[in-house]
Amino acid sequence: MSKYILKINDLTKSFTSDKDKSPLLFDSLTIEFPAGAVIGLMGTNGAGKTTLFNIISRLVDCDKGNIWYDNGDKQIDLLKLKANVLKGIGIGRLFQDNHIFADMTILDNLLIGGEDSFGETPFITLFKRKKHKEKEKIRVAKAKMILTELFGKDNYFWQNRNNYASELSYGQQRLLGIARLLMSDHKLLLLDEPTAGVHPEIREMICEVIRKINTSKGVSIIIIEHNFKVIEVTADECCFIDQGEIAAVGPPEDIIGNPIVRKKYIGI
Amino acid sequence: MLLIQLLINGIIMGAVYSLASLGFAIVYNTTKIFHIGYSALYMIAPYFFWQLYTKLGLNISLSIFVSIILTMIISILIDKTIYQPLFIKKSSSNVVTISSIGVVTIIVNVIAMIFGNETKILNSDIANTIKFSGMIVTYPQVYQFISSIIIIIIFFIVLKKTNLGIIIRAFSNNDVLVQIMGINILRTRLLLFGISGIMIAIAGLSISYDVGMDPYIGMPMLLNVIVAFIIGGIGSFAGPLIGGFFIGVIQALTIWMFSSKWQSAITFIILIIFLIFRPQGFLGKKEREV
Ligand SMILES: Nc1ncnc2c1ncn2[C@@H]1O[C@H](COP(=O)(O)OP(=O)(O)OP(=O)(O)O)[C@@H](O)[C@H]1O
Ligand SMILES: [Mg+2]
Repeated sequence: MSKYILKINDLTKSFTSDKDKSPLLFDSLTIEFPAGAVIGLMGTNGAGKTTLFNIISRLVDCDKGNIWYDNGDKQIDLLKLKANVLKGIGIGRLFQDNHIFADMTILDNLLIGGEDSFGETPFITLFKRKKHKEKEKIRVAKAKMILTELFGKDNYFWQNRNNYASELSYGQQRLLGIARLLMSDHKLLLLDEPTAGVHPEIREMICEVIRKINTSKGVSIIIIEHNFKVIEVTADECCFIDQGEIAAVGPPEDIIGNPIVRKKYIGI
Repeated sequence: MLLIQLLINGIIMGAVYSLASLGFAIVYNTTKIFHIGYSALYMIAPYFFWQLYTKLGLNISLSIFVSIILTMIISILIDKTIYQPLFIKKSSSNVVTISSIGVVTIIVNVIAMIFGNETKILNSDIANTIKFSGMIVTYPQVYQFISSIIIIIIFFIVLKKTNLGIIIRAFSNNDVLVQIMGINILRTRLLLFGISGIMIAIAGLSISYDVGMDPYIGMPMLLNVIVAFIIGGIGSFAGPLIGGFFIGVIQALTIWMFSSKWQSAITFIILIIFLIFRPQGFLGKKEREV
C-alpha cells in the first residue's frame, strides 16, 4: 500500500439540512492523495473543489466521514481539529480569492506567514522584545530572500514593502499569498487556483515554484486548477470531481484525454 | 473665556468618548458584532464600585480595581455565553444584534431591581478644583482625562509594537486568513472582550464618580460612542479617537451656542451629515470599488 498524505474517507456534505430539496454535495467521497506528489484537482465550476479544501482546512464542517492526515509519525483525523492548528502540523493553504490582510503592509503580510510569527504566546513575547526583534530580523531577511528568488532582485514587492497590501492588484495579491506560503515549512499545501488571472509569464513562474517546492522539499501539494497546461506541467497525478464524486483519477495526460473530462470542459 | 472653558470641558469629555469608542471598535473591527451590550457594561462598573466602596467599605483603589475586573469578566462572559454560540451556529448579524439588545435589557433590569431606579452619587464632596488663568478643572475631570489618555496610549503601544497587536490588526483585517495563520479566534475574542470591558469600565467609573449614575446611563453613552465610532471611520483604531474628541468638542460648542439640551440632537445631526457626505468617516478605508 502506498503512503498517503491525506486519506478522505466516506465524506458526506450538504449545505442544507433538508436532504430531499438539495442533493448532497459530497456523498461518501473516498479518495487517497499520495505523499510527496503534486496532485491536480479538476472539476467544473461548483463541483465542490473549494468546499473540499474548506472542509480539509476546517473552515467548513461536514456531515460525516474522516480525513486522515499523515503527520510523518502518526495519523491524525483532521476533522477533530480546529482551523488554527493546521499551520502547526504543516498544512498551508492558498485561497481562491482571499489572499491578503488589506490594512497591513506588504512586508507584514509576509512576516505573518513565518514560523511562530505571533511569538509562542503573545503575552510572554510582549515582554521579551529583544528576542522577538532578533527573530523578526531573521524573518525579514527570509521574506526578502523569497521575494528575490520569486520575482528578481528589484522586485515590486520588496521595493514597496511598506505600502498597504490593499493597493496591490488582484494578481499581485495572489502572488503575495503564494510568497507567504513559502515563509514557513509545510508538509501539505492546498492551492486553490494559484494561476487564475495572472500573466502567462508569471503563470510559468508559479508552475516552476510549485514543482520546486515539491521536488526540493518533498512537500505534497494539491492544486485546484482549470488550466490544462498548468496541470500538465505541475501535476504527477490528477483527479476530476464531477457532481461530488471522483469521476476519473490518473496521470494528467489520461485525465485530459478522458472523454468525460473533455465533454465537461470543452463540450466534445 | 467661557468658550475656552467649554472647550477644555469638551476635550476632557472627548477623551472619555475616545476611550469608550475605542473599546467598541476593538470588538466591532474584529468580530463585526454591533455590541449594544457594551452600554450595560458602562453602567454596571460604577454599580460594582458603589457596592464595594459605599456598601462594603473597601478602600477606594481596591474598589476601583475590583470593579474593573468584574466588568471585564462580565464582558468576557457575554461573548462566551451569547455571542460565541451564535457565531459557531453562523447566526446572522441581526440575530446577534437583537440578542445584544436582550443582554442590555436583562442587565439593566437586574441592576434596577437590586439597586433601585434612583440616581446614586458616588462622591458627595464638593469636587476640588484646579484653577489656572481663570479656567477651572475639577479633580474628577482630571481623573477622566488622565485615565482615558493612559489607557489609549497603552493600547496603541500594544497595537503597534507587540505580537498581540499584530494579531488584533490581522484579525480585524481578515478573520478567515488569520485562523489559517494559526490564531484561535475564539480565544482571541475573549481577550478582546476583556480589553474592551476594561476600557468601558474605566469610562463608566470616571464619569459616574463625577456625576453619579442610574441604571439607564448606558444608552445615551452608547449613542455617543457609536457616533464617534462611525464618524471616526469604521474599521480603523485611530478613528474612534478623532471621532471621540470631535464629538466632545462639538457638544461643548453646542452648549456655548445653544444650550446643553441640544447636545444629543446636534450629535445626531452630525452623524447624519457624515452618513450622507462622508459615510466612511474621517479615517474610513477607501475600498477598491472596482
Ligand atoms: N457556504 C455555502 N453555503 C451554501 N452553499 C455553498 C457554500 N459554499 C459552497 N456552496 C455550494 O457548494 C457548491 C460547490 O462550491 P465550491 O465553491 O466548492 O465550487 P468549486 O468547485 O470550487 O467551483 P469553482 O471552480 O467555481 O471555484 C456550489 O454549488 C456552491 O453553491
Ligand atoms: Mg473554487
